Amino acid sequence: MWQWFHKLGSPRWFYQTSGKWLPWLSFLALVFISLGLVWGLGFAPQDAKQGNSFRIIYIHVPSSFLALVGYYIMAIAGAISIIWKIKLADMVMVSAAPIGASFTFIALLTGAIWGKPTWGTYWIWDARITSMLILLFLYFGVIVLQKAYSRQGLASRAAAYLALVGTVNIPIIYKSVDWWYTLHQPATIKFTEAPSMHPDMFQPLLLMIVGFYLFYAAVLIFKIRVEILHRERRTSWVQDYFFSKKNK
Amino acid sequence: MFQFESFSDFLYMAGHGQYVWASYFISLSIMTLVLAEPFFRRKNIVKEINKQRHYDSIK
Repeated sequence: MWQWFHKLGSPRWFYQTSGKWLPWLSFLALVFISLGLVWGLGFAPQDAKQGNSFRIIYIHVPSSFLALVGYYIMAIAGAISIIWKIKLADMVMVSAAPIGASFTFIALLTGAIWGKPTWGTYWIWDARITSMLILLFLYFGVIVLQKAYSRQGLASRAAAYLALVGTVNIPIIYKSVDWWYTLHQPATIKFTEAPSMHPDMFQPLLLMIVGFYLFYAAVLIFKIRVEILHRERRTSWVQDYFFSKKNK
Repeated sequence: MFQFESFSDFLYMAGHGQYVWASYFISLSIMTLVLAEPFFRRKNIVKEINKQRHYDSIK
């Protein structure tokens, strides 16, 4: 068991294994997102109340999911790197932060654009939107802290602590639409109930959600691989890896 | 079934086209940038590794 644990934490092992997975993940992400885009934009029926503006949901909901899931991944990786001092966990945290921040930004931006034709305003200080904005700032904080110290270990620890403290915000985001009276509608998809959406609209959304998850996984793995190359660039295995490749 | 009668209909989306297309365009652009960044970073790191190897070999 410990051997397995040790292996999982080895950047070299991760680099070699993930190389086989990455092309498949990327290909599947491309297929799902392309299908979802065409279906959602052209073939899903328009909403009875919102008309065509509801098509923004196919970007807004998947990116909001990943904004939150990405935060969990970042915070859990941060916790692992604090507790067990596993280098790979720290690389996961560092790589996850900018991707999560991008999806949070996309969620906020598409929400704002969607708000204009639906609520008549781009922005409102409503519980869901404000807590998402705080999430974006937490991501920024982790990214900045990560770069603020010249000593790698110290920078990572500080960033990981901030990420952990920030997880308090996640349940607030989830529950904000229930706890406060907000303009934002309650969750469309719940694990416990059938979605409150017509299947013709829901199927492309499901495709997009799966596609976005695959995209997230592929980009995260890719970024971790680049981070590994950067941190281990002076080790013999990285040198050998490129040298033997060139000789082939 | 395709929901629009013509391509211009598809672009216009009964007045909501600007919001829908702006959302999709900006979001996909950001995702492209997120994907492109590690490619460039990787290129620079590989360059550095090769340079280091070169220095080591003439030392």
